[in-house]
Amino acid sequence: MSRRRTRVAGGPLLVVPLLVACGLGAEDGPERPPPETHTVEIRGMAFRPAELRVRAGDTIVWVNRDFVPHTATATDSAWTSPPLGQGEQWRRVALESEAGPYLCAFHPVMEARLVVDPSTQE
Amino acid sequence: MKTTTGTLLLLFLALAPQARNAAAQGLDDAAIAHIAVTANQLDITGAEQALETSSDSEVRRFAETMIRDHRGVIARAAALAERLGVTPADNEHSRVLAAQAAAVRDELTGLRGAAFDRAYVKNEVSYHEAVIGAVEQTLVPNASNAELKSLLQNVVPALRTHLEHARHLSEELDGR
Repeated sequence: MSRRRTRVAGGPLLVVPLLVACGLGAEDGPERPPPETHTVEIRGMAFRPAELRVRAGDTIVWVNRDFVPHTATATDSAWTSPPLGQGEQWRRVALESEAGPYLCAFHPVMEARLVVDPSTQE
Repeated sequence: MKTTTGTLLLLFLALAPQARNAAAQGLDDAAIAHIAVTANQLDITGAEQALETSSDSEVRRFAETMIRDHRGVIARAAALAERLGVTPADNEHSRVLAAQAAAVRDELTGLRGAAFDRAYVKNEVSYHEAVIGAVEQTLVPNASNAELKSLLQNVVPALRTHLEHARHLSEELDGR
């Protein structure tokens, strides 16, 4: 009596595509969205928007539209722009550690806030 | 402080019925331009006195901002006047302003330390209140040239910020 051997067609070749289709073998965790650039206009003696929400790694550009000079300066002095004349701009990459209130060093009644979310957050 | 520059400015420029008649008040564009420049220059002079006298960092920061910003306004006003072919014309209002500012300066000269700081900043509060009123109620309505009118209107947000800054600082100084 002969033994019957049963084989599955394709055998091992089916295994890898199946694993890929299940997402196994790929890197764990959410994908990071690409960094964005955000603009804060300094106009009419105010930061616009007054509260800006970004992700860590995004770039923020402050542009002075007023004819008097301004700065963007962290309230705890952790960071500051140079004096910005009319039309001048300054950019900074957002760090989670530097989120918080900021103001104009020349006109400290001009206040704003920076909210920085983790880079992987959607 | 017996009188302030701001009070006198208010009296001369913000009396509603008389201020409406620009011709009677001698308020043509040349005079308005001169008043605007004079008012800015007087605040610069006051700020320079504060920098010579005060050792308070916040008072000095305020004074430096006054110098920086008001020099900018003067530069813009002068550039506009030159482009429009308007020669700012000396007038009674400007002379009265200057005379009163000189009197304030004399009063401040006799003060030192916290007394100077409080008096200087209080005067800045009343001065900016009066200038804002004069600009909005008299200079802008009576300016004939649209660009001059626009320049004056565009200065108001900065004046309001100066006023808010001075008020905060005055409260802080009074609380010490």
